[in-house]
Amino acid sequence: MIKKRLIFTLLYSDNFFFQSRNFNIQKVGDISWLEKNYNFKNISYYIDELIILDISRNEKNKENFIKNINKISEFCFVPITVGGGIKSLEDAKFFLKNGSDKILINSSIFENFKIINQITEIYGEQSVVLGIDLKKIDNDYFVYSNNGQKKINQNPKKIIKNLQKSNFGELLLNSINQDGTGMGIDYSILDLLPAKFNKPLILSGGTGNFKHILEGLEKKFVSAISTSNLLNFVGDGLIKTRNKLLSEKIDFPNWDIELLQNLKSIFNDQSK
Amino acid sequence: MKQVGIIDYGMGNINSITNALSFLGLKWKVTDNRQKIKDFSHLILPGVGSFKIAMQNLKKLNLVDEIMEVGLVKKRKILGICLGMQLLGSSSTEDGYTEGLKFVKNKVTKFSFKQKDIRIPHVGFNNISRFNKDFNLLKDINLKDNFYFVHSYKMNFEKNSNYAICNYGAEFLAAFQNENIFGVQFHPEKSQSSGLKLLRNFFQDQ
Repeated sequence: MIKKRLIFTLLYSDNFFFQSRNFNIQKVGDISWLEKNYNFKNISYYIDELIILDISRNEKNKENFIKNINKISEFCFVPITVGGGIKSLEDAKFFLKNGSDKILINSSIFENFKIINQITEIYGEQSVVLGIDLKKIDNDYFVYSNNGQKKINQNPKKIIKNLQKSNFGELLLNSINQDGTGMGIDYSILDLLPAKFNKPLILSGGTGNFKHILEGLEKKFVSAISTSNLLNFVGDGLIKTRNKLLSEKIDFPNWDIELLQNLKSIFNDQSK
Repeated sequence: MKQVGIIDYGMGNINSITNALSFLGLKWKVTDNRQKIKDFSHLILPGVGSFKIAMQNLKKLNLVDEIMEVGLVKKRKILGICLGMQLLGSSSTEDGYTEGLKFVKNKVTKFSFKQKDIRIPHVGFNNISRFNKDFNLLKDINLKDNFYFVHSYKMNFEKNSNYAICNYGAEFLAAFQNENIFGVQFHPEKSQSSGLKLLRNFFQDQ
């Protein structure tokens, strides 16, 4: 059977990576910081998938963004989903050709809905992840776009239901309230899904420890949990988390890190 | 020394394959030039997306005859990955009906399940449920290894000399080998240790 997934989300803007809390962002460092201080190479061996989002609010520089993505993908042998500012089929093509396996569409759901089918017609429905950011105000949920800056005046249930008019691969639901708090995942957002919802679902926002991830993955309809919390899982935090999850018999892929490292340059043809 | 050629016909992400090959220490080149196809000891046919568009692109680039020549006459090892595996088959029902490269007789059809809770596409890590013991591509690989799948269409089994089966709602062909022609439905380049092990097996002389 298909395994559950642990996804790591990296937030990127203008050559730096960020930590986010309720969508307020704080710079943590550039790619060499990520490698030196965070040992991201090692961390990438303990995840099943990577999402990298360009969250810059200025004009986005796709070329620089993809350069950063490619530096990561040199040592990261998991699927990479790229998002942030994908407004046209051309944008999507650019990322799918240059190092991204899937793309995440968020604001364009509301600004250019037809882009979803344009992309999936060429690259297949598995190539598009739709991301919905939700904010709870009093007891009601609202959908936000543009890095959580723009409120969409439509019923979130209706919005999610309407998504099914397009062909897409997966849905990512993210809680702005829980984002970066480490206070746990808000499962009531699952109630916003239509009864016959039939796509792989990724939940994001609020994971602070191993128990949060375990809880989420134990839910039948949750295919993956994503965390973007660099600080909660610093050091060997993520590694310990994964090992604990495996010991709880979460049906996860079990990666052989030692073997992976031993396969490096096994053919030695490049030096010839 | 191995010279790996990766055929670029405009479908999907080639970077992750070249990164995996570099990690293993292999020399590779990406090409869409028909005249270069014969220069390689091993060919990789990658691809994600529509079967129909993929065949159109291969034809537009005049690559079909060259790939057939290298595979059938020169007997070089060819590995089709994901859509690339499907293209090695005889036909696909994606977007109507499209004929493939026909290295093998296998046909490609869409997943269809009676059970409503099995989602399409089949996305994520899954293990091989069974394979024949002589299948060297799967050397050192067991049921605990996981591979990354993303597909809505799958290749049907057809007396392949070596085969590996995956189970998703029903059994389908996860990998095959007929002589020098290999196909894998999953992405070894995105399957951590399991995938790198499989790529090592493909490039090891056997």
